[in-house]
Amino acid sequence: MLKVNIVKQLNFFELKADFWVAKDEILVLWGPSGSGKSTILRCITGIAKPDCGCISLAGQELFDTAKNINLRARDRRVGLVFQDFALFPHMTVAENVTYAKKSKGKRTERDWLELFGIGHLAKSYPKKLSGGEQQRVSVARALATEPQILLLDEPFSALDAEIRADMRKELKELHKKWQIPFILVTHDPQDAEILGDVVIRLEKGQAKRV
Amino acid sequence: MSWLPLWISVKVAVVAAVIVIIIGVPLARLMARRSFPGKNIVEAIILLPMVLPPTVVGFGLLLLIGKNGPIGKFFALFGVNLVFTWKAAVLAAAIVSLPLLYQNVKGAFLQIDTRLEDVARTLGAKESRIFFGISLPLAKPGLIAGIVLAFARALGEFGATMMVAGNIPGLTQTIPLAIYFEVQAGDYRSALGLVIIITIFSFAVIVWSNWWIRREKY
Repeated sequence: MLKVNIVKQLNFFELKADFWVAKDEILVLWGPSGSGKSTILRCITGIAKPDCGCISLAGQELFDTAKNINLRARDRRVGLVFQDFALFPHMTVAENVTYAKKSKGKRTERDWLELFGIGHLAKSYPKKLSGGEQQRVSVARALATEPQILLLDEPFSALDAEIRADMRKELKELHKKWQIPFILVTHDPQDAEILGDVVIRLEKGQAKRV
Repeated sequence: MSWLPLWISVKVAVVAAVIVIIIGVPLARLMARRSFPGKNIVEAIILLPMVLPPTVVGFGLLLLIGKNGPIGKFFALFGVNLVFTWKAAVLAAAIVSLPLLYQNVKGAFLQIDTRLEDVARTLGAKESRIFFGISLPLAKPGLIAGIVLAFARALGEFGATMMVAGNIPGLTQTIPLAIYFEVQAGDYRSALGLVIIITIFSFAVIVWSNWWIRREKY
């Protein structure tokens, strides 16, 4: 379970987020662009720092201004998938996926790639992949750290409409398999409708789950 | 014609380039990623030797490393004299070529999508691993261009070198100095030989670095 209760001053408004996500849920943060959705994800990963508040994941405090806790991004065990996937362009698919090095043997590396349907791409460079393939690599890379939550920032917006439906289905199945909470940031109401166990609408910088 | 000026030139330029890489690359990365009060001023100081006349740089350096300069006095404690040695030529070459490397490498770091570094952090990578595994390889074209420019500038350094290292044949006389003094002495034949050597050498370095940059597989 992830609990978030943070405040951060942005350029034009104050962002307030107060919500939780349970293990078996996909939470959708839905709102127009510039509403602060991505900032919330960046705060959870530790890339950005809230002004005040607290964030805890699976019983561990990641951030707490009152207790002066601010865990480094690399110690948080939060998986992140960026909008256009942010794959390392100078590394092969296999190198991308194993970057986190949860030292497993050669064989399991193969199995891991197969699990995401990208085994045949192991030696390819990201530039050669389709949008859907890039997304699979990005998700496989994030999950290789065995994170306790997976955050996805507009994961479908860089994909063609035809494969978007397939990828939504894949994501839903993945969530069932993995047994960790997912947070998905989107401006597409269809994503919210199809995937969201819980949908939080971001308006005027306010995100509150009731 | 003596080969000594070529040897001294290459020695001075290589050592200067190594110093410039060691100082310039981390500096460029710091300036590309962090902001702090007075950053503009710091950057102006780094770039100043590029726009100042080399004789001004030489004069300033002379004040610093001369017998009565703070750095000169410090080295004198260990019995080391810098002025009119090849070490002074290295210093002069490093100071005037640092801005060229800095500008190129900083530009290269700025072009990298910072989300790649962010994602690496979420994957548990330490900062040093991100620097050597992500930032540096992705900045490679700018890095090589910066090194080549800095090396070339160091190789061609004349004014500042002349002031702090002088023109001592076999010790501090680099190719540009040798060419100048040979022409002054009317020995056009020797000067031409050195001109041809340095032209071929510089040409080869540029061709090699271009090949290196284009060799990328991704």
